[in-house]
Amino acid sequence: MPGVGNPQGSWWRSRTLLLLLILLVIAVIAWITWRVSNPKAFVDREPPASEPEVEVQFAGSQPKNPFHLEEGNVLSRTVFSTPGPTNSQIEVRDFKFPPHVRTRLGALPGPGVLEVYSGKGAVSQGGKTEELAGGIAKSVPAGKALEFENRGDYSLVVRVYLVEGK
Amino acid sequence: MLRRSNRYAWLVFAALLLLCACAKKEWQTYRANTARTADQSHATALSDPDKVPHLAVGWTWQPSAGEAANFRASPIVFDYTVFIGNANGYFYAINGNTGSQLWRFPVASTPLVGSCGFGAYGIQSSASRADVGGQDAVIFGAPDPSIAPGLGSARLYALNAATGALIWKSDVVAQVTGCTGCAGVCSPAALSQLHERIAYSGPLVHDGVVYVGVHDSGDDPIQNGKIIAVELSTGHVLPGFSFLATTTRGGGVWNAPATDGHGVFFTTGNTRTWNGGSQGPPAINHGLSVVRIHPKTGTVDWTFQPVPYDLDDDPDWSAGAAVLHSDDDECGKLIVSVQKDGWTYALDAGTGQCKWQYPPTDEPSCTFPSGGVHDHGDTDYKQPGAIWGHVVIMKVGGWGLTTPGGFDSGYSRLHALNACAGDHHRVRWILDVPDTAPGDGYAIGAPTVTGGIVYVTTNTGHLIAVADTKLRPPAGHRCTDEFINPTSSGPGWKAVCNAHGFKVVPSPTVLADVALPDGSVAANLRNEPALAYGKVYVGTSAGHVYALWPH
Repeated sequence: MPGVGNPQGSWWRSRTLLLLLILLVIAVIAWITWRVSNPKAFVDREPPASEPEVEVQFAGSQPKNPFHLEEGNVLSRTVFSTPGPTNSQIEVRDFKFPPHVRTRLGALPGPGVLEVYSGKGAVSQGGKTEELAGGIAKSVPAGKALEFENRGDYSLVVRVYLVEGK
Repeated sequence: MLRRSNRYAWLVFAALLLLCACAKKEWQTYRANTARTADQSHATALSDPDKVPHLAVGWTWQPSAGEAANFRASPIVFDYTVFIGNANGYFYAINGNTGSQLWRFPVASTPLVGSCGFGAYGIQSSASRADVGGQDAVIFGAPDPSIAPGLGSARLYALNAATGALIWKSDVVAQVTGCTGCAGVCSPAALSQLHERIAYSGPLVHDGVVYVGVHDSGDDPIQNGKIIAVELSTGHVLPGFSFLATTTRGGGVWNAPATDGHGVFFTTGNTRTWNGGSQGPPAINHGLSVVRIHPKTGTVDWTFQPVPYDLDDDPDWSAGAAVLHSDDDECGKLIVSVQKDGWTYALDAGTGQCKWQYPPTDEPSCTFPSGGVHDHGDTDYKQPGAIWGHVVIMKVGGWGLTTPGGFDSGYSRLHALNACAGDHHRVRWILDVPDTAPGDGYAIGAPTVTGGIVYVTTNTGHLIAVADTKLRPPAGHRCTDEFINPTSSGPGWKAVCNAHGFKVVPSPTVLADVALPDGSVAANLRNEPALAYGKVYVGTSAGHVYALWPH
């Protein structure tokens, strides 16, 4: 009859509880053993380190066709230069203008076309200002100083195709 | 009938077995896991920066004489066994401790190679481990010469991992119906044939289904990209599942699909550059995209296509998707990849929204406007990245992409990118990988990582191990824009770097640089160093499998 004392049933229940307890202890020991023998590899989740204050050693490659530094932190390079027709010289130059500043570039030695490779800003010549953005091409006259304004957060990169009379 | 106490004893035994089985120091699929993170998360000697400098070749194995051998697939490793397919059409199991061959499939002398050039690629698909009806199995894709007329139509194979016995061959998943290629403009014959491959797509095993990508052969001509899903237990193609990349041609899936446990993610190839490129875009064009599909139906959940059709000059998106799950929800769950043009993206896994682009272009959607000047051509940023916590380690174009002619400047370079940081703190470190032949798009392979130590192979046959800057002080520093350096900017290069909005970042220390005996033919397009049981396993295009460990 259910609910009535059954010495054998009670013995089984006790034994079951004991076995469950042993099972639990073994499982915990096995888990701890597994965790100890299979540690997780280190994973860093801290913010990236900031630039050190001390002088640092340069450790990078020097790209082919390097730039050189001009006044106002402008970087420039000549990537192509060849004699052109009727006593002219054809040159292709790249410029990198720093962000958030206006940079005055001396008058070009000849007329040319500038093409914006990346970045955004404006170019002024003789009081006239034109917007610059990636892919935009503008003709620029010779003999007039150019002022570039980089309105982006990174370099404004401009390629200039020049025809220079000799 | 078992006595109750005996039953408990068996339960205890089973629990212990289960716990032992969970000791995963294995590498069970391409990029280690179905999220394709390429991260060995368990500590071994390979994650110990004190031991790694003693890395050396432990054993070498190669197929028998007469079996021309070229390993383009990467090894997977479990049960102390290395599993790898070869372009010769044979699949091998090798004892991971001793380097002795355990079995070969097929046993017969007819390898898995088609007779037509479009189907003659052997086994380039890296394998995946699976449980098939209680059998521990390896699954990979390959041409089946027994499919009439033997040109190289392909299917998936499931083999018993212990014996190499065939469990099933899937239904045909990629068809080769002719051998007529295009020379510029395609003939009607070439356009009427199917030239499908599953060469570069390792299978994804998830929730009782095997997914594999279908692509073409050298765009000759471009085939319509597909994901095929087969039932894991039988190998039969699932009838209710379909993904086609376009309504005409293009969008090949050249990579191994990934999953976050919910969606299936992959990247797709170009759409425009076939038949002279004169045709208009297809009505549906999922080419050059990161795609998330529903795992049961193949329906598109979202796509992300940063390069529009008119700028498609063949920047196939080959690297595939990797899932970065920031468990502290700092930046959610991201899908990270680099397109073949070198631009890198992190997308919200749930919505496909672009979270960041590297380098950033100031476009909120991270897409390129029509008519832009950047190169989106057939360049070689094809290797997937490794995910270590919130850090993505990858071969990417970097800031060189924003300067004319800089499209190839990242070929020999690894970037570590902080996925959860803002743009200004995106770069954690940059390394010009040593012992690479410059200018080669395959200068380095796909990196893998364990405990912040990055492993990568080079095109001169070296295995390089690099320590994250949290493990070892950096070897030096550099500007994130490579064109700003002491040569261009003099001793004040740091100030110039900062003035241009860039950042001075560390260059990490190389812990080990091991020259493999194969020399300059050791590296390969998709080979990754598999990190398992404290050993590095690599397969080479010269036909060797090497095991290296700290001696």
